[in-house]
Amino acid sequence: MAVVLQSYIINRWIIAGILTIAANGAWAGDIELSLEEPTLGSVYSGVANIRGWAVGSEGINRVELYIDGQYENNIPVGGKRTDIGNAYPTYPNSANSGFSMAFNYSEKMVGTHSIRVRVVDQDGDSREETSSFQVARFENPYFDDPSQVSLSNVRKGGNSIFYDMIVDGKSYSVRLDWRTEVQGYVLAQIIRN
Amino acid sequence: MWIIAGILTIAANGAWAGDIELSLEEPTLGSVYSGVANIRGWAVGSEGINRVELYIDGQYENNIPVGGKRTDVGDTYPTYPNSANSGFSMAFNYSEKAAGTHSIRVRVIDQDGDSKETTRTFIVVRFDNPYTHNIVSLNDANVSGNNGKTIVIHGMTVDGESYDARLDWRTEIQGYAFSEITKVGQSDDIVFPYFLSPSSGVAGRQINIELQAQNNGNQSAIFRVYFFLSKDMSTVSSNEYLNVSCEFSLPPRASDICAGPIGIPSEVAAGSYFLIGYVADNFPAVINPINITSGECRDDYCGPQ
Repeated sequence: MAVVLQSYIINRWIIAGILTIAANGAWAGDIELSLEEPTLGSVYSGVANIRGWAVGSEGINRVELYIDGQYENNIPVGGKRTDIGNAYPTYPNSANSGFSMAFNYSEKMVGTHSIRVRVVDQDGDSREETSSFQVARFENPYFDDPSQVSLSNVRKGGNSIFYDMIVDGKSYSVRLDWRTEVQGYVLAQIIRN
Repeated sequence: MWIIAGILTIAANGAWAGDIELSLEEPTLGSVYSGVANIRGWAVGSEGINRVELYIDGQYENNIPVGGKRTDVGDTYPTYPNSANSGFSMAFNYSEKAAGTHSIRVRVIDQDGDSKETTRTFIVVRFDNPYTHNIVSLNDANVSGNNGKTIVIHGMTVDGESYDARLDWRTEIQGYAFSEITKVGQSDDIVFPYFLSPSSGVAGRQINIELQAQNNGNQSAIFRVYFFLSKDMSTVSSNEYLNVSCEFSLPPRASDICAGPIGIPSEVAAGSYFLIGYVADNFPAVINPINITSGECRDDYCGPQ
């Protein structure tokens, strides 16, 4: 099993390396990256995660976050990922290759946004992954006072939960959907009444 | 301030740690968590931060990555190295821990090896499977609201098993999160052997109550009993909620007692009421009659005398 896995990685080095030279002007075939949240096209609201993992044969220097083409900040790296450590045992610190940060999606406007995560290794070579997500939000991006939140007309529709909600004195129609990545229900639609 | 803090910390940690500042923002104290959420906060120190260690129930888990953008902390501690990037954060599947109360300890070590730490508790509610890839179905469920605050689900299906659950607004995530998950059938195993409360009380003062809960089932049960002062012994409403609840986390065949004071709001009109302990519609409720008399308030204060 170990031999098969190693062979698979070597093949990916070669293939991915050629592709990345064309894309970035630098050899980055030995960087592997996965952006796990936000998931492509999903709807986000409130404070959730941006997370994933990154490994490279030269070690990872930093993970840069861009939203809608604008640099936001670096995402801290070093989260425990034994699954990645097992899959890439020869890459430095692969068992601690998780990156993660809390992110208030509601600070972005309603609608579709792009996210780009750029991983830079210790040699300065890079690889990136781009995805998109949608934001649903209330007018205020953050409420401190839970007493200002109330709901009514709670009902189900399919596997979703619908209800009317008053937040800061404003009325909304809201839908909650199950999201596997968080193992819970999340705000998937917010419509001002 | 530094000298005092230093002396205290030498006793606690064997090292000078007066110049490390630390805030654990999630999980919040005593909150209920389920599924994948955050462990997050910030840490700064005059010597710079080396690492942030995470311990759950006293066991080291891993280091939490540090370096998240925190301009607010940078503004507050402008002379501390890298304070504007002092956030630590990691995704954490709380459901990988057993249902019940857990402790979390975050220990920050600076570049000199000195440390500072904070400890608190959180509560896990979960389905049997800590991470399901299957569709979570509401086909057989009844979904309703409660008190204008809570979403109640009876009979949601997860991995073929039926559960009752509650969702409450959580400020930290600006959304709804599970506050209670009970396997259907499990609630039938919960009984309240006794509920002690006085037959009379005074508006603006406190009464003492004592409630015993017992789990006769074969699975752990976590639930919260909310106390209401109602004119109707069969229903409760949000404006009757007394802002007090008891959290029970009961292993199979275990019992526990919740005891303490409950404040009777000063605006309660004199009369006959029912003091009701309520969990959910499919749980037994505890109900005691109570006669409330008007309190005498002085200088806008109505309290125990």
